[in-house]
Amino acid sequence: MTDHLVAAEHEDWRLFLRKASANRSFQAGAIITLFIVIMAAVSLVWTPYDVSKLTIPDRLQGPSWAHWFGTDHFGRDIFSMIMEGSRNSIAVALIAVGIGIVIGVPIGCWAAAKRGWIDEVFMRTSDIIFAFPALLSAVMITAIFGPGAVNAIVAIGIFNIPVFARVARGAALSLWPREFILAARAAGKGPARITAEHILPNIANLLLVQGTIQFSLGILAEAGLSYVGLGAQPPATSWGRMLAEAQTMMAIAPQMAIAPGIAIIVTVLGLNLLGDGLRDLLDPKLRRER
Amino acid sequence: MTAPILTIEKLDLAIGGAPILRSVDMVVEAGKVHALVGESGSGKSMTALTTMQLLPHGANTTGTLRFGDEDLLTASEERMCALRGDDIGMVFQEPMTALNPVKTIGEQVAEGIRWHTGTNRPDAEQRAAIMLKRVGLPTTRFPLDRYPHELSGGQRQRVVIAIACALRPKLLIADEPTTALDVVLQAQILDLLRELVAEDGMGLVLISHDLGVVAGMADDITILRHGVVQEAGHAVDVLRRQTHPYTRQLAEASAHVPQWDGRAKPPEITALLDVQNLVKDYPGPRTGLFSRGAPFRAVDDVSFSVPPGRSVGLVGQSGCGKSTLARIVLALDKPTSGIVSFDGMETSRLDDHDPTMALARREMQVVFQDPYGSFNPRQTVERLVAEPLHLEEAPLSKSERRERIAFALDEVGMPADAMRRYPHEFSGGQRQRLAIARAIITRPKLVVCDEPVSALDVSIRAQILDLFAKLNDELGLAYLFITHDLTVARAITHEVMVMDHGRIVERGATADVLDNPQTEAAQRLVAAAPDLNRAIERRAKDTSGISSPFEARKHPSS
Repeated sequence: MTDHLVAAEHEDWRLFLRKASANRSFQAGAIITLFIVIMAAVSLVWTPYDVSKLTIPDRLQGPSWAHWFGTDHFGRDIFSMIMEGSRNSIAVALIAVGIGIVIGVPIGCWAAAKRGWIDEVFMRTSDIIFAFPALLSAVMITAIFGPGAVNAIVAIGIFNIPVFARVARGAALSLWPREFILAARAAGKGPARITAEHILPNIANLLLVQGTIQFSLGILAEAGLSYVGLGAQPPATSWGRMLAEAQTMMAIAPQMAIAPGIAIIVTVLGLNLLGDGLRDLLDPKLRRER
Repeated sequence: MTAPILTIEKLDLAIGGAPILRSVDMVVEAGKVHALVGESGSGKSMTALTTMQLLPHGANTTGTLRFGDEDLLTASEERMCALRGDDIGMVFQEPMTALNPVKTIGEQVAEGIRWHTGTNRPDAEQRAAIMLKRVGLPTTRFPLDRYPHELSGGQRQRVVIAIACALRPKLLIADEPTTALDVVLQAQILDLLRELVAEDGMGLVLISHDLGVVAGMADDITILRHGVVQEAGHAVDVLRRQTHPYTRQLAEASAHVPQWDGRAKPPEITALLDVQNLVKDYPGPRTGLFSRGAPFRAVDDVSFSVPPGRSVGLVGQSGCGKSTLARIVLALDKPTSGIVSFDGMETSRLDDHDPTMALARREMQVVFQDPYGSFNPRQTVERLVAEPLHLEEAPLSKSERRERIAFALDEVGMPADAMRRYPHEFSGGQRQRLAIARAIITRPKLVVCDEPVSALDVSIRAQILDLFAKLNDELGLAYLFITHDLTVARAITHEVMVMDHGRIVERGATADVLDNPQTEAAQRLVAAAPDLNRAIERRAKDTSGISSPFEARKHPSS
């Protein structure tokens, strides 16, 4: 009988793949995300043009076969810069979301499990953090510790912590009085174990959705910091920096703004689709239906 | 004979191609209560929704559905909006969700009046006040600016009824209006509905699964199963004669008493569970930043004991402290004072990390009311049923675990391959079996059951009660059986304790207490409890001479 149940686990995997093959938004999201990750990886070793070399005669060209997205005011290839910049943008946003999840979710879950003064302390602290305009505070932090990608990550990440703590706490609070949690407590499981086994899997979909939102906000925040010159420093570039540089050229070379703008939109869209798809695939209720 | 208000003839309903109702006939007359009876999935709520034309997308209806002289199946949505709430009112099962939590009760009753009659706000509010008074919520005690959360469940259901009846509808559809209430409140709400029918001469469609309720209320009855009318006619006749096999089956299931060897067993002297002078206070509502109101005493000086292998019932109205007591017994809550000792271990003194506590938890398990809420929807049955197994001293190997799970599933009558599936793939009754499997997997000595059958259909309820009886016989399980349903208490308990306002006011052998209640609280419960046979007898006496077998209308298809 045991053998047949082990076989069943393989079957679960096959079921997941079969469902994934029917889930359009998961596929579209996965393809877009994969494409962008590959693009960022390839830029480490190769870009169509060298972005650190200025070729003034070629400046401000429109899209052509030689320069897919045109060139900027220094004659650099915009497509190559998008590839190069994707690394900084994605790294900053992804790590900032990671900081938020890794620190924020445990805090939120702990507060929900313990209630009482621990809850109050964490939540009032997050109120205080919320009370500061996030971008201004990030500007302050980078101004104190110096501009650069690492400080931008930390600055954006700090403001993700209360966001995830809140989402996790709110969702966890609504689960704690449920009977299956009571049953787990009656089975002698402690708060940490209940959180790991019962709370987290049930709030994962919310966190996933919040994660994609925070990721897009992270890219935008990085763009904002770069825009005021506190993000990635030249010669390194990022999509936000590109947008900032494009601003003065908007009238004569709109491609300089359009290309990084589209890159941001496509990335955010891809991650949102991926998040939606994953949420559906991981929900056992939707697994067999549809 | 009065003119029919609602005429349903040869009504077929299919949703997304799946047939829901097949050739349903039903006639509701003015001033009469027409009961629509059936188990879940029988199509009784769908019949109501068809009448209201509130069906989900993809629904396809054919047949006749006339309200007075008007054909509702072809009526425009605009016309239906005018009818709904004005001429046809509806009362839902769950008073907690049927009211808008951010609007006052006055606004909610007045809303419909203003919408349908176009009167101004003060007039509408005045009418709302009159209506609320009629349903037993006079403005002197329940001002219009109360919010739903300030009212109890029974009071909220009164507000829902006030909304439905505010415009004196010709037809009122009540979908399980008392299922979420305890028996005392149920009796009050049923009285109220009966009065409204008698005074306003409206027709009432009472949807219910409870034959006891129906027997006491209905003039006519239609019994549905799988969308097909099984039997229809005069309620008392149909329920008294029980000629149709399905009617008989329902009646038997609702009065089902399991075959149970353990019933006659004499009690042991020792106590498995011993509770002494238990008190639980909840802090009062916050009145200021640092001050709180007087604490609320949920459990007030309770002492009792449960001998091994004995089934002890705990009955009482909702809010009397039954569930709080259960949580303290299970060591899910700390008592304010008092002692709980289980099998010689003083669990009220132990904290969760104590190794003795793990031992106690292994011997003491729980089954909850809601077969939907008691499982984590994201885990397979294997993990769910195995949950308490981590309390075992020696860790089990994977195959040992699976064997234990399969064994527990087998004991509750579920196949071993249920393990791989998720809880939503099972019906309510099957889920309750799974919950019981989880409770018995560690071979406990005591199972605390908090209303374990009140969310189930009567026939499923009978099966689950049989299962509880079987497990008592085979495993010697003791039960602390919490219920507000005295029929259930009678079926499965040796002794019963009556709880009222946090105190245990009466206890004794089940039959003694329920047949001959001494205290006012117990008498109130017993008097309010719907009982099929008693209701039929009473009604038959009232109507004797009026209805004879010849007058009883029989459904053509039955």
